[in-house]
Amino acid sequence: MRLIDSSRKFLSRRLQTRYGQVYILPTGQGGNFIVIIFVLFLISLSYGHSLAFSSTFIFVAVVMTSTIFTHFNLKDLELLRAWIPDLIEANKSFFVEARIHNPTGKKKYDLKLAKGKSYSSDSLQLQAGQSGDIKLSFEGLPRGRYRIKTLSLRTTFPFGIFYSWSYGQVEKEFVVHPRIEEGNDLRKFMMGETHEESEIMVKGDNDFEGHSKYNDGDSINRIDWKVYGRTRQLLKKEFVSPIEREVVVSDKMIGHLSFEEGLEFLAGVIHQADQMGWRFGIDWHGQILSPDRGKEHYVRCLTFLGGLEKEVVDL
Amino acid sequence: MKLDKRNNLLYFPMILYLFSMAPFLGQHNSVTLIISGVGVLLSLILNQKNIQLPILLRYGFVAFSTIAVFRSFGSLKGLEAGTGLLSILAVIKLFEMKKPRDFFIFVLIIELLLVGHLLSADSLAVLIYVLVLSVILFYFLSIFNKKNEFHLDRERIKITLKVFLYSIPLAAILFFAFPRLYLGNLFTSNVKEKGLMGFSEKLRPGDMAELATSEEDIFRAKVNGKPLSQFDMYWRGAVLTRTDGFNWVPGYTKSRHFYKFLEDKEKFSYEVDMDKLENTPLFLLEGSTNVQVMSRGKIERLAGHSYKVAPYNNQKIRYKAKVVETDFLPLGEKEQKVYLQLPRTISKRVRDLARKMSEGKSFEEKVQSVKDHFYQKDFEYTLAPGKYEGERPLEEFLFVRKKGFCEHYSSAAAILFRLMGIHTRVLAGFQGGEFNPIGNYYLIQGRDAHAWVELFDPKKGWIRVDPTSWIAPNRIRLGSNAFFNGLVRPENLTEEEFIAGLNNSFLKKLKFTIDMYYYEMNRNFLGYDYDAQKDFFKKFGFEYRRPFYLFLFCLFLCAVVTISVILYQGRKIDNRPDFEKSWDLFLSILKKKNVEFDSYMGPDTIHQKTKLQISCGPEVSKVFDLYISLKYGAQFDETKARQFDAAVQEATQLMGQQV
Repeated sequence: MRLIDSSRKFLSRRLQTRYGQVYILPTGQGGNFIVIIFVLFLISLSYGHSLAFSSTFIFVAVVMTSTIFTHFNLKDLELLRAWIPDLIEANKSFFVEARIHNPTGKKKYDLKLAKGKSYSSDSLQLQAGQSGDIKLSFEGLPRGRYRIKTLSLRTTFPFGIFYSWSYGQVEKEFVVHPRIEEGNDLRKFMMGETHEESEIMVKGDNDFEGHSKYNDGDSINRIDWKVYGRTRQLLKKEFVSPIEREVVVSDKMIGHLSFEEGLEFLAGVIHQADQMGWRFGIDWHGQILSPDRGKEHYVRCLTFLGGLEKEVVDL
Repeated sequence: MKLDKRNNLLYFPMILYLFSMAPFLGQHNSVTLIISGVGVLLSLILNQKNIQLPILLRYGFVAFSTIAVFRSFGSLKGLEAGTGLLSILAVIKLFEMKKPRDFFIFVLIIELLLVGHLLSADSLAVLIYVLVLSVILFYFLSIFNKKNEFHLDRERIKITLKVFLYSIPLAAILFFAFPRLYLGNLFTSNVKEKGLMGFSEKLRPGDMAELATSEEDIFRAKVNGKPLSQFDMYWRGAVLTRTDGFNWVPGYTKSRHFYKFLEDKEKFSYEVDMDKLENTPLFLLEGSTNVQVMSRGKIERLAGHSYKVAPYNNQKIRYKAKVVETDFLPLGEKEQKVYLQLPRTISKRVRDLARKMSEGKSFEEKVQSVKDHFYQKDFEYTLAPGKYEGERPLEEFLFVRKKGFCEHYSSAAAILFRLMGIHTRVLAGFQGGEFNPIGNYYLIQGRDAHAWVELFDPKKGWIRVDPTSWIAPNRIRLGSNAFFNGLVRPENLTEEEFIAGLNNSFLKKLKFTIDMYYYEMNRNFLGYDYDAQKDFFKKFGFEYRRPFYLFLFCLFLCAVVTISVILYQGRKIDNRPDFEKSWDLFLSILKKKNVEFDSYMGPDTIHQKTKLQISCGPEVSKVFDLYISLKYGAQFDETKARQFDAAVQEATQLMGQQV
């Protein structure tokens, strides 16, 4: 496999036919087909037979013509823009989406988005003058900072004998945040069951104000079981908060965990806080992301954790 | 093992496989057909049950099939073994039809198989069939490339046809201009020693009946000279000199001329194109000399002025010869014995008959007495005389049943002549042929198969005697077509007029026209070899000393055609409405005015940027407003489009640009 890969790289470097921005090479099957045509050619020369010559030359001509079709199927296409999700969790697959525009007067067929060896499973057909979106699935990546410089568009239209590809500039950086550790209960941390957890600064949780109706997704800890015992109604306790509830995760909390496990733990806490509507922030060796809530802040915090001690890696 | 429900992945390839095999079943032997048939049925059943054949069993099937083919053909080389093996490989591929890659490999195998069939059939009609099937295969390749399933897609049909259509000029250039070099025999082929259907180099009376009732085309002959009469057209094939008392074989093989050819007295020349591939003797008219084989193959001269060609790798035999006047050559000592050979088993009754007919008679009288015997003793011409399988078939024919056709009469007459001391040989070949007045050639069919004898006249040399003409003269005079169809010549017509009249109907003329095109296409297409290629280019004033120069010329032509296709396929097609083109023009002028914007930006953004970067009057803003209204309006407004064009004109003039 390695040999095949390196030979492909060599071929694409040395023998690629370049038509402007479009590159073209035979597919694996196309290579087989070319070998078969060569065998047919030898048979024709050996037999000196007009019918053998004619069938061989027809296949040669079809292959050459299909090359032209493959090339022009990709020519002049424009990669308008590409979207990468705001939040990508480590080791979970994700999609990159691109919008392709066909400014030509001809329909384009079987277009696939590709990056390296992975390419989109669905193909895009683009009418003349139209634009369309296509998704490319990526396998899960470890936590870190990444950059996609280019996304290539490829096609094997019409017969799969040749494939052509063309690069579109993307230049997008993104961060894969730590895996979110599920099951953290902030209330448990409040009680300080462990040293690390006691470091979580939880403010509020003071005076009882009254009851409100329990909704799905609300913390079970807030259910007033006494009321339930009396009335069989699920009501949750509401407290008067002189200060809003907030949690600030810090580097000190991950003392006995490995660095990555620690980040996963912190990501879990932030996630939990966001779920419960608390304010959350980060204090990382003095670098502070002030407590806040909302989607943007959530993304900012996880992105911060994802990029910690990581250099940008080009995909 | 259960598979995904993808049954339709099998049915289309299976249908394609059947189409690639069905017309060529005759080219395969029973072993190949049985294995292929079993394989197809098995794959069908397994697919129905959604079961995948384990890989070990698949390999086992491959190994078993390979051994069976090897045992059947004695080799895996050669065309027949090759096509047999390919047909089995295609079946095996049916077992594992799951991904586009499997179908692609299946297509490759089928294409090779089709070319194998093409070589075996050696016919232009088969090439057209193979081409049509290839277009269908590529169409399925195209839709399978799009999605992992088969479905009908008209657009893809058009694209596939387009690719093939664009390929034609390139294929034609390669066909005509690529040097027809001879590379040597890389792939050996087993040319079977089989005769034409029913025709062999042996004569067993009765064997030719099947051939003599068929209308299968055997060969076409083009004569340069006057049209020939039925009596001139005795196409000599096998010269048979040795008999067992009823059957004849070519016993004497020493090569020697039996005529003195007067080369300077040429009567006419002719060319023959065999329609079948089998290995047969050349069929030559009497007095033929300068026999040249135009197809690839080695010519071998046999006794009795006959020839044979070992065809080179399944090429149909083509040859030419000229007919000259001949002169007498005496028989040598050995020849005298050979042409009087008779077995001892010939009965006394037959010997007595011959003695009685020949006693005290001259050569001519002896011939006449044999003719009289057949003429007077109620002999009957029939193609269904039944088989002569008794111990003494000659006696049974001459004295009991008296029924037969050319083979029986020739064999019996030849034995009687030899018993009379006349040097005799039997000829097997064809007599007559249907003249195609449109193409100016003769078509010789199976029903023209014939046998006759040649006698050595001490004064004149070898002369032809046709015993069939004594019993059924119309078979020779009117030809096999009229004779076997029971047509009667009206008394007011000569034989020539009668034969010509048979060809006057519209249907007959249509048949002649179609046959002429078929013949000419085959002649010029299949016969396009190194010499024909040289002649072809000579006609256009391009004479080359070395094939290399032709190769360069071919490359040049290919480059021209390829560039033309690239230019045509790459031409810009602007299908957009006119206002979009005016908009592009307007944007290009803005760019010239150094307004910075990106092509993906919407008109509103560009408008804002324009306002910021250049002094922008209401005329320019009007262009933007009208464009937004046209582009994003609910309906296309013709009036607005005209206003937009005028606004673009006005704005560009204001900006100092001419549109």
